[in-house]
Amino acid sequence: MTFPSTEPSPDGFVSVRVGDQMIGIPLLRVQDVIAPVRIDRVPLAPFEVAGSLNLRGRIITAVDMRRRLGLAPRAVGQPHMSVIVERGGELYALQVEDVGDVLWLDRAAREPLPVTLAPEWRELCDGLYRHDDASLLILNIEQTFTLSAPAVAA
Amino acid sequence: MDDVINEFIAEAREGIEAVDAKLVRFEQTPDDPDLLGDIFRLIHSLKGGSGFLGLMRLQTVTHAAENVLGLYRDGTLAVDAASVTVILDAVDVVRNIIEGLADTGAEPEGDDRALIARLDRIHAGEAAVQTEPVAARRPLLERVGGEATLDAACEGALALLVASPDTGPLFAGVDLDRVQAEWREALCGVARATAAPGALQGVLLETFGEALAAHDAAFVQAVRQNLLDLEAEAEAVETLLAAAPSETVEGLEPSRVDRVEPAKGPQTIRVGVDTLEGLMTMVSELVLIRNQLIQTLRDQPETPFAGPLHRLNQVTSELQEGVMTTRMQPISGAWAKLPRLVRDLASDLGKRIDLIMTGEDTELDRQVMELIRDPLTHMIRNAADHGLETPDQRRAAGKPETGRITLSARHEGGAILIEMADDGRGLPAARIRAKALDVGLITPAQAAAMSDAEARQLIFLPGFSTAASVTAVSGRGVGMDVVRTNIEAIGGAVELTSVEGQGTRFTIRIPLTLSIIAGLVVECCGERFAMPQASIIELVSANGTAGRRIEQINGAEVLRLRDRLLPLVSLQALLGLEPPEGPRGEACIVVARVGAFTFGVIVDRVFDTEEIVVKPTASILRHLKLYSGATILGDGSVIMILDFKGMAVEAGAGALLNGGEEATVDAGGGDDRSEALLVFRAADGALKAAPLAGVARIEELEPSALEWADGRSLIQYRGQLMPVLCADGSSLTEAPQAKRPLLVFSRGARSLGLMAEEIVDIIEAAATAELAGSSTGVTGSIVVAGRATELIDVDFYWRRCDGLAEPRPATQGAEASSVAAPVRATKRLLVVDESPFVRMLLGPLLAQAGYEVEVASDPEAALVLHDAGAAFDLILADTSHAGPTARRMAVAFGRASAWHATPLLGLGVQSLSGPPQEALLSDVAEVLSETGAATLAQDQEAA
Repeated sequence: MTFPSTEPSPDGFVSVRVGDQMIGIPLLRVQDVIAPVRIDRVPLAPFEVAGSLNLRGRIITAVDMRRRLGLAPRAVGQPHMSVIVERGGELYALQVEDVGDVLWLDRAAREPLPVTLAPEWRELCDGLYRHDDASLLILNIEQTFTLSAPAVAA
Repeated sequence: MDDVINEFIAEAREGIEAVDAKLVRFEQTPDDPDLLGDIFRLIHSLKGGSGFLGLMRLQTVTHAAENVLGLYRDGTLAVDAASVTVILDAVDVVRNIIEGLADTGAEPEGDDRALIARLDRIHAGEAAVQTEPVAARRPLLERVGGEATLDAACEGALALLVASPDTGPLFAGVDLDRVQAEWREALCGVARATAAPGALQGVLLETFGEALAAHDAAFVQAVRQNLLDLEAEAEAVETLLAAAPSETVEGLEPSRVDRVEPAKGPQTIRVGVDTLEGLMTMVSELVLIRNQLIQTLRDQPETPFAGPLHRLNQVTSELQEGVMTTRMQPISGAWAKLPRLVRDLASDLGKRIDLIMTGEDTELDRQVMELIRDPLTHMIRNAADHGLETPDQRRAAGKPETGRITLSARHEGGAILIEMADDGRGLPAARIRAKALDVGLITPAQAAAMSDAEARQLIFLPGFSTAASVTAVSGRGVGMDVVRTNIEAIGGAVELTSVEGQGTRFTIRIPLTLSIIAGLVVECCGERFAMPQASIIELVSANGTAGRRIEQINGAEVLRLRDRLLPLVSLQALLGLEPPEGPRGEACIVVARVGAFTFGVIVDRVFDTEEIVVKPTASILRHLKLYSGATILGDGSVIMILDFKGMAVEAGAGALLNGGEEATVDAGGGDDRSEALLVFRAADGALKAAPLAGVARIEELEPSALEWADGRSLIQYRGQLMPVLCADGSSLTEAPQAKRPLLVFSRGARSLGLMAEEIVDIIEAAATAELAGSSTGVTGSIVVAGRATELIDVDFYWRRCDGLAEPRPATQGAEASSVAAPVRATKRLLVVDESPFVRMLLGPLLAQAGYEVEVASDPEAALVLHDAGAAFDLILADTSHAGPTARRMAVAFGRASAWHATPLLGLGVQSLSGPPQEALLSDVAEVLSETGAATLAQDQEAA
């Protein structure tokens, strides 16, 4: 899916933080990490879409990962970062609270998701790794963009 | 090698497209040597290329076709339809092979023997007749397979030699095309006996000089081998390639067209579309950066960068233009196949069709062109198949036997306007209706309520085909809906007008390019949006001045703009925006048109028009039909581009978009006295017109909503009972079969509905209509599109509806109603005058002044009214006649006992020669007093 199986282990992930959860975004899908920039709202867009931003002349649609994961909205003024990922020839910005290191994790260490994980999280994640006594959920990029039902039309 | 094949395919496709059109033209003008030369060269280079690439099937077909073309060129074969058809067939086969090649990388399987046999028969048939002279004139060329074979052989040989390690280095820095041409010319020269034997060797020596010495034989051998491979006669080949007795290179024809051709080549280069697209993207981004910089410059005009920035601005604009130009292609690219198509259709259908194309040079973006190619083809096909009649039918209809399809293109206001018209039978509205009913696209009620213009729009619905029978050409039910969808997908619009018996005209408007558009930036609730300028008609401020303010009709917002009701949509409501705190700016209305639907969008503020670069919306936002894309503004912010069509649909006008009843006729304009008239058809089929200003609304009358009370037809309308009248002023006696348009007039809080059969049009016409009797509800008549149209008197209907319950005889006073419960709002007058002029003038004048007027042409008619029970507030009678007439009147009024309390006003004409008025009046008064008439008004009024 997000990874060709021929890829040699270990796999690289950009670790990010959303709420209290560490999440790994497959490194090969990441194009850029940017500081907060001006974001223009898109009326009627799905709830998770924070808006559009202009990255060096390209229009990028920003998805708020807190909303995508069903967490409470970010407090006003709280710092955040955007991870630019590529999907189907388009660029998207995933808004997260913090961006950490690139982690190289051995594929063999990947564990299945706990069955008790909430369904909306389950479908977003491919698996998890243990890292520094914390769990790192692996983000499924494709599923990330399967958004909730469109916003209610006016 | 793949690159070579791809190159060949690209070239071949282009060539074939051109050859179709050229052959058709050639058939009509067979004596155009340039045209034939072009065709020959195209087929010829195909043959050469296929030989080189080892595409045997292609080579044999082109070879056979070329033979026939060769006969044309030599003038030994007359150009006739039969042989051109065979060649066109050959071109089709070539096309198939090329497409197969493009798909699979290999020649598709196929049997061309029949085709080749046909070509050969034509070739041989001619050759048989002229064997002797031909053989005598061209002994060698014929035997080695013609010029084409020679060329192919040269090309093949060159390829071999370049690839060979021995001879390859010799070709470093040499123009292969030129060498090939030289070789071919040399060989042709020998073959035609215009050059001495050994010409090839001479050319070789000239090109390669001393370096050739060691490889001379190899060169000749390569050519020889290729010739033999191409099935040239061995003996002939030897003659051709025989070494020269002396080194003469003279004798070549100095100015052959082929010779010039290679030099022309390098003036154009083939660039991959991807490369251009990439370039375009880069330029788009550059434009954005430029915009940002210019924005900065506006803020800081004193910056030392001002000079360079202005220069950058200019260069960027030029660059953008330049890149745009590279993507522009003449529309003839999309039209190239059409002449052939029409020719084939004509012969298939047994029709005679002229295709007239104008504006082929009109350039448009290649992306746009690709997208309109299929719709256009389809429409032409439709026109030829359904639109045009057979020669017999045309003759019977008094038209020339040859039908005509005209296709024109031109630039108009940043868009391309393509018009396609035929002079055929037009679109039969009745049949379309029936057909749509048949296939269940509309209900019978809808069908009945539909105007002809609306019915014709049905052809744009999916699954519709007007053809009574499905022919091989069209009528398979995939059609105009796809055309419309395709055109609208690229932001275009297609409109249709048709006159039965005279033809059909489609007007297609498409944007020049899809990448950069003029956009109007607007603001609503603090958010900015761009609107495509192309759809915008005007901007209107609705601040209450000039009588323009936003009105509410049952919650729907409308604007009365120049006597039209303009439906409005609020961007705020549409997008679900939060109204900002504090006072908002004055509402501004952007009036836009989508198809036939004109509507206004309420926004808070309008900024500037900018050239905006359209970027597609992200796929996760693509379900939002209100947006057609996004763009980046000069300040770097990202805004959405609104889609008017999406807005119209969202606003509930989806049905209207498929209708398009609003075909406004401009009557020259500028005439202040002209006013907008709503033309409708009454139940009896007569055309009537009402001043649009008086029409409050047009509703749809549901038959089931009709109720009757006390003989009056009513509907419940906005919490009130509203009387519904027929156009003749009477109540409806039964519900109509289907929905009908209902013209709603308002007076104060009251409403009145007038049922029409169908709404025909809204026109601008001078309101000064001929005066006519008012009692029929008609204030005059005007001519609309050549047909007499009665201008209705709205007051008449009000009176009708007010006095409907009281006995109201018609003008003739023939029938009488029963009950009398008059609740009269206005004074009622009776005019009795024998002069039609006075009646016609006075009636409307008084009616206009607010009176209800009945007119009687003589005292007896007035008496009939009296007997029918009519009551009046004042009677105006002509008292200018002396003698018997006055007496008749007096007698009549004497008998009209119910009117004895009614004041009577005598009318007289001041006539120079007539008898003194007093005498007349006294005459009447005398009689009246005899009969006891109560009052006689002594006033006189000159009529």
